[in-house]
Amino acid sequence: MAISDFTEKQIREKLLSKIKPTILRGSKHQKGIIYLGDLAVARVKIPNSHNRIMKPSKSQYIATSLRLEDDEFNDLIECPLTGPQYYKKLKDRVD
Amino acid sequence: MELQLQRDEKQNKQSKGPYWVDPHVKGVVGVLAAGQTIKEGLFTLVGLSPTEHSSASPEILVAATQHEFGSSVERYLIHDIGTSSSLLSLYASLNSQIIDLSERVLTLEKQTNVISTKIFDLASDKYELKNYIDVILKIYSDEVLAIIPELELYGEGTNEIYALDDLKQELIDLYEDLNSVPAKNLSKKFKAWKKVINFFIEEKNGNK
Repeated sequence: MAISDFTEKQIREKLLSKIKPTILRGSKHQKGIIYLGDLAVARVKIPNSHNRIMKPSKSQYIATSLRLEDDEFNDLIECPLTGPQYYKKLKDRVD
Repeated sequence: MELQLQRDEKQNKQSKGPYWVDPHVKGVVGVLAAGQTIKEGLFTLVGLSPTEHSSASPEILVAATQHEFGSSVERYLIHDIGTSSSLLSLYASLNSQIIDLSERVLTLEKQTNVISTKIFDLASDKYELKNYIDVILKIYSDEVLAIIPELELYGEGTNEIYALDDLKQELIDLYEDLNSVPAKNLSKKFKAWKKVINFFIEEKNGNK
């Protein structure tokens, strides 16, 4: 399954509201570090609040950063996948 | 859809004519009577036999084709090709090739152009590269992505220069992020990235 079309704003809002990464700075593109306990395990580039559709290749990089498969990423943005469920998946995937 | 060919007076003055053209017609090879309204299905009378040609007189053989390569070039070639079947066959063959090429150009235009390049500096007062870095450029019609897959980094911009500039800032951000977190709090993957990025980037003298 391919990643669906989402706007940059949609992806940004879901990342911030569900995953709540630690934002390190406010440069041109914000980055968020995702921690499991004290361990930094993922780093994600957070899109800006544009209403344009994000290119699949860029969405793919965000999904990869989050350690999510395409369908899981779709679920994260479309809502079935909750924040706690995401962290449970992440925990299983971190070395 | 019906198309009404109109006399091309400019062409008619310059030669024996008469010439007929419809600006909406693409790739037409047909036998047409003066002022005749024709059906779309008549547009491709490819391979008319000489007998058919001679019987077409005094009808006018009109061939028109519109060349479209992207949106940059648009022009018409209009020929009175008389009753020569060889010319008509030749024209039909060329016209077919033009249509085929136009379709292939459109397909290629939709594809992403991927090239590789290198960056040799970070355009920063604070940091510099110790070694050049290989970068993949994905060029879309409206955006360019500059990518370093190994570090899961990408820069973006409306052209190659902006995308590479953005990527350089991404590299600096990653360097600072990884070096701001104590090593004991980094996952194995991040420790590996830190090793890689510290191999490529260093602070300039005076900034340490």
